[in-house]
Amino acid sequence: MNRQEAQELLPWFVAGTLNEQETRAVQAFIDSGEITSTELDELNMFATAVNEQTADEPEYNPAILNKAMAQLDATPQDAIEEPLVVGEAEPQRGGFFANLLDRLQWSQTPSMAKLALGAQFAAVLALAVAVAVPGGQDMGGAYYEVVSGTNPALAADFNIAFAPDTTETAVRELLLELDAQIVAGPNSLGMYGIALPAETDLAQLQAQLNSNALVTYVQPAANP
Amino acid sequence: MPVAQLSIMSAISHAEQSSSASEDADQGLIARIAEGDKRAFEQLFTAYGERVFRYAYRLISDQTKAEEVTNDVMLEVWKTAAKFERRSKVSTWILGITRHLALNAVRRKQLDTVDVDDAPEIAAPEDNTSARDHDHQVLQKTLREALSKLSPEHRDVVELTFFHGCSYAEIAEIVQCPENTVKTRMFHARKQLQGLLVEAGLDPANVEMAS
Repeated sequence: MNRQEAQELLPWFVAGTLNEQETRAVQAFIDSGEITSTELDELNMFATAVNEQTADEPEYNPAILNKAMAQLDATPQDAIEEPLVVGEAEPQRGGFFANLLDRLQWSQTPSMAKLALGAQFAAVLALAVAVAVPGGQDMGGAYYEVVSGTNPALAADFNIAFAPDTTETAVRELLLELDAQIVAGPNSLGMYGIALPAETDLAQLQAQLNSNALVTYVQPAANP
Repeated sequence: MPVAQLSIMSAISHAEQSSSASEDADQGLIARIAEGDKRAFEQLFTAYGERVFRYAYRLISDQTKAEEVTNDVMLEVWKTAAKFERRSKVSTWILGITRHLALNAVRRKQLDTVDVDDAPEIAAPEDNTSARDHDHQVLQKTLREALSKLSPEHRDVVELTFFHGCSYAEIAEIVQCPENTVKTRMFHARKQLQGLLVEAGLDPANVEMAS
């Protein structure tokens, strides 16, 4: 703090409303004589004059309290919006959905917007369920047909899906290794139906495929 | 450390503790008022009524209107106590409401604040030979008249500082201006007061403060 700043704060030093650090700083300028006692005396005079102004003013009438008290019942109070005493009481928790709706200002959202948002949410939810649960109705055999049509001579033994980054070559090599062939698919979920030689131990092969990094899903096909 | 300084620090510490306790009590009253406690309202009115009246009166210079403003301020406190967010002291909040309603009353009723041109003339010193010859009463009367000649903005800062005991930060909040503006207004107020006193034959540098 320089001298000018200390002088600016001098009135509040006299009034005793500076914080401790400011008071120390101003006091240092007074002690060093950079702020004179004349300045302090002058401010003390002003302070006294301000406080003695009441001598020239009308008396305060305490009876005006009665008028206010009589008006209280007719003066509605604003509702409490938040706890007045921070830290004494935890705000009441309304659960995840209540907090979410509060955060989204759901109560202030127009009805049409609510409807649109609800419809979008339902659509996203349905899609998520369809993706997350591949064993749904679609897996029961309602496949898209391959371009060449379903081979009626062969029924699928497994429904199988491959990891997204699996190359065609890798799929082909796997099928050759298993002596399998694709007889259906891919459907909307990228699922293929594969047929295997009659003598294949399906349970063992399923376990083997489950441990294969290329395969994300394999289940016995439900043939009619 | 000088004894005087130690004494000041001790006084400040004591004043801060006392102020803090008082503020806690005020906050408690506001919380109770928010719940509709009329007894708490009565206590707060008793504590702040005169202070509000004085501030309002000095802004609008009309006793009846100042009483009306006092009533309106306290009813506003009753009405909006639930919205008080403890960001400022209760006194700062109430004085802020007072200033707002008093200035509204001035605008609405076109009340006259003491205009520089209409303000009473500063009494000429009976004996102009030396300011030292004036007794305390004459000096204070002259000072009060000089105060009344300040612009409302400057007088406001001076009164909030010395009469209401507000810090410059609190004043900035009450009058809604930057803290530096508060300091600047105080600086100009002091200069004006010095000039007015010299004009009245009282040089502050030569006046001994009567305690």
